[in-house]
Amino acid sequence: MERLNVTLDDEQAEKLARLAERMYVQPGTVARSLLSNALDEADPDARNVVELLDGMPGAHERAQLGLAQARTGDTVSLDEL
Amino acid sequence: MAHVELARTAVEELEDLTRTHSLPADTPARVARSLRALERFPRMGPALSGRWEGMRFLLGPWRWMILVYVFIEEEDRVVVVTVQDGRSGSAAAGARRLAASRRAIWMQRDRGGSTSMWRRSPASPAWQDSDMERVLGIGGYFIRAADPVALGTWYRDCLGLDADENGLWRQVAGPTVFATFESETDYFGARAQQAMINFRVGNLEAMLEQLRAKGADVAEETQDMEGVGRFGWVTDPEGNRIELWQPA
Repeated sequence: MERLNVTLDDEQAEKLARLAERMYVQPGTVARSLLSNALDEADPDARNVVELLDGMPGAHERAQLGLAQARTGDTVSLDEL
Repeated sequence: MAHVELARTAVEELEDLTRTHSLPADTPARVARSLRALERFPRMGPALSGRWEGMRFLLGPWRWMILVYVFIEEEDRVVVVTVQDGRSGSAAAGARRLAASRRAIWMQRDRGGSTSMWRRSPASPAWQDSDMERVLGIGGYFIRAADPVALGTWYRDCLGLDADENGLWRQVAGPTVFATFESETDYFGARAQQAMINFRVGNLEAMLEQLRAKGADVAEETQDMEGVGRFGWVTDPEGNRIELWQPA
């Protein structure tokens, strides 16, 4: 087991405190649980996703088109989404 | 900080998913939140393999939503290239739509004149399930030439573009990119050139070697783009710059 020090900004810290209060547990306990879930979700198995994508005819062609658009700058910034 | 963008096609896919899956109106904002971390951690998404080599992915605000992206390191850009629904039902539907769209059209050329006629298979659904009338593909490319016969011969002999006597050319299936550029672009060579054709090739090096052997004006530079392919350029005898693309 590894101990980490994590600093939250005010907004996130307040949200965590609210959650902990609602659940009658310590903020650290909630944070640990949420972080564990987030880590699981952040690192899904790429091999499964490749299989999934390969089984979707048209997906690779769409990706190729997207890559070409990336190259030519035919894109929309995340801030404009 | 990397600049995070979505390819136009990915934005359209997201809009389609939002509409067809009745997703909430704030779906784009949710997707943006999923992607925001890539600004600081562009390699956060697991790397894909096989023919997806060079691409990474993240799961969107819903776990079925697969956001496939590339990190263009030299430009410090992250670009989402496609947004897909990973559930098998939708995958099957996508396959059916694609297969139907490929069967949908064929071209018949009126031997007596210059008009061409497009027909749609009666069994085929409308492209992208929309009522809007859409163009279906590129049916011709026409070039002004001081010597049309000589120019046509050059395309046949140097590039192997084996069109018949009516100019009909059966192409190998593959992606076509349609993109507009700024009027000041140098990408097409001479400013007088208003458009540039891009030919897909199977082996760029072999094609460039063939062109050089035939005395064509081949650009020295080539360009590699991870996950996209390799590019080279040649200028035809009438000064039209042509792009050659060996897809990845």
